[in-house]
Amino acid sequence: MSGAPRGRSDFVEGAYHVALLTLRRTLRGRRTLVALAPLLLPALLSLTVARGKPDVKQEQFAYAALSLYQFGIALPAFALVLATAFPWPESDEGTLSYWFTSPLRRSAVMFGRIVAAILVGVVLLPLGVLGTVLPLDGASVELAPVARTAVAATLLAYPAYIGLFAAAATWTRRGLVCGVVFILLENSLSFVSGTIARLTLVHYVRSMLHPVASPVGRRVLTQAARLDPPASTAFSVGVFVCAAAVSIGIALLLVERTEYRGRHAQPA
Amino acid sequence: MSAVEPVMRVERVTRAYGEVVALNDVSLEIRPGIVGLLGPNGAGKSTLLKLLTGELRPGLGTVQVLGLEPFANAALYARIGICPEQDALFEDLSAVEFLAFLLRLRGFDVAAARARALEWLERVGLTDAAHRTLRGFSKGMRQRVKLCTAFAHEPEIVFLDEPLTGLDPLWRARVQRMVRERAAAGGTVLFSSHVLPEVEQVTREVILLHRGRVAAQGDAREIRALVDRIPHRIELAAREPRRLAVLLAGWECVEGVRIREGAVDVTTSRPDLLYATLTEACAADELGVLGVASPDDGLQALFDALVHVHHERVGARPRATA
Repeated sequence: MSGAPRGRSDFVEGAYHVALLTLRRTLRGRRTLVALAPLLLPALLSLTVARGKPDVKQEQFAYAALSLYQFGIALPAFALVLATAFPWPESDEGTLSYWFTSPLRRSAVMFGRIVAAILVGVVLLPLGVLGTVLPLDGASVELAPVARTAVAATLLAYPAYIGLFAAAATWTRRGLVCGVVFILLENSLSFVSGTIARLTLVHYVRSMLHPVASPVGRRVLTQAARLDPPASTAFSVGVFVCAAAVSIGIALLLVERTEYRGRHAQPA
Repeated sequence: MSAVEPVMRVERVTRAYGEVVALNDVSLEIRPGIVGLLGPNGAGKSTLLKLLTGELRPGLGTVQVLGLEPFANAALYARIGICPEQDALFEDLSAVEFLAFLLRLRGFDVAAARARALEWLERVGLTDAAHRTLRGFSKGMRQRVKLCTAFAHEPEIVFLDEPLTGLDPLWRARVQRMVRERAAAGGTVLFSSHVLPEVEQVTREVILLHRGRVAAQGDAREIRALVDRIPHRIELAAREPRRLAVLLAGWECVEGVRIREGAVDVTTSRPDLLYATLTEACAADELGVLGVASPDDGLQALFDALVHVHHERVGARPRATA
């Protein structure tokens, strides 16, 4: 017999192996393409808008596309598709046994999956922002800081969305449906000025764009995205970190306690 | 009662799915060696296996494997191997990637995991397919990969849920040998099946489950006499069903043959003899048999008979009946 095991994998090492394999599988899988499609949709519109439209219109389009679509729809939708791939769908497929009967804590497996989903987002999410901004005429000068901030806001908020959707997917088989409802609800609430809007993550993502926005951009954020008043950048970052930490923590706790019985399991 | 300590203990376990009771007040002890877990579909075999492998929690009662409570117990999983019933693999990986990954999770380093994965794929005759993605594997090949996941890390206990499904007679015999070797090396194998002769070829120690209860536990020979009275149906997938049917009709142990598209249904009251003869004939490549399946109607009849006998007299050491 060749080789011998060094013993049981620990949490970090196990999560690392899981993340590595999940990354490889995610980048090969169809799910990533599905998640990428809504992200790149504004890039097509940007190419159209960039043709012969005045600069002001292009700038307005950039802010509207980023704040309303990229932040409100594409970012959470991307997170939703990746975060809800586990554990219920794998339980139904029958592959969950291989994860949950390996000598790793379930939370290590879950953590590895979450890390992989975050890494995929870190690579792919900026494409959506850059695809929206770069085709526009003012991209190189006026919109460059906006694009940088939008990428930063997206990447900071993304783990929070992943955590929220992962917690939902760990808790219920209908994680995907819960996520869709969450996105619709969040977008609706974000258009209500005042305290209620501050209960949504997208409010803080949009707020991060406010300090670097031009007067045209601020008008779009205030009027179209109803960002009034915006939160400070430090507070927004704090919200993202707290939301990510709490929701990922909940997901890790839930996965240790929940019994996953796939649809293939015969009820005797 | 044997002096050897049990490696698995199930005490008064009840498990229900909604209103359906899958296991009803089941108690049993399993000692090292090969133990067959027999029962028709819906008897509660898979539920019992999932309780023992910690994928499910008992509703009532306690389950212990190697002295540990199995549910979500990572310490236990280092010591057991599982071949699940469902035909699910990581489809986008190659066979060697899949096996090596599972071995990595069990603490093997990169080189050792890969070497052992290749070694086991060679043992199950998949060397040529080792680098192909699992998506393109046939049912029999997938089953052999699943068996590797159970055995490759040489666990103390191996749980096999319908391990011979989709295998041709030759591979059935080889897998049965693999099971015996594991037990000879000191391991325990819990072999779940709905086909008595499959189990009988590797062990005499059987547990019979019927409608969520232990119908009997003990020596398989004690229920053999009952089986011999009951016609048993075996489905043989074949390249040339008509030719196969003609050949089989000449065998003494075959009572009837029926040709279907791509398969032949055989009726026999001597399934043990039929399986043995089939294996020999397949080894000589005389039959062109592509796969063997045993619908559980024979076993269902056995259980009905067993329950009937139990009502009439104390026989085959039955503990409970549905």
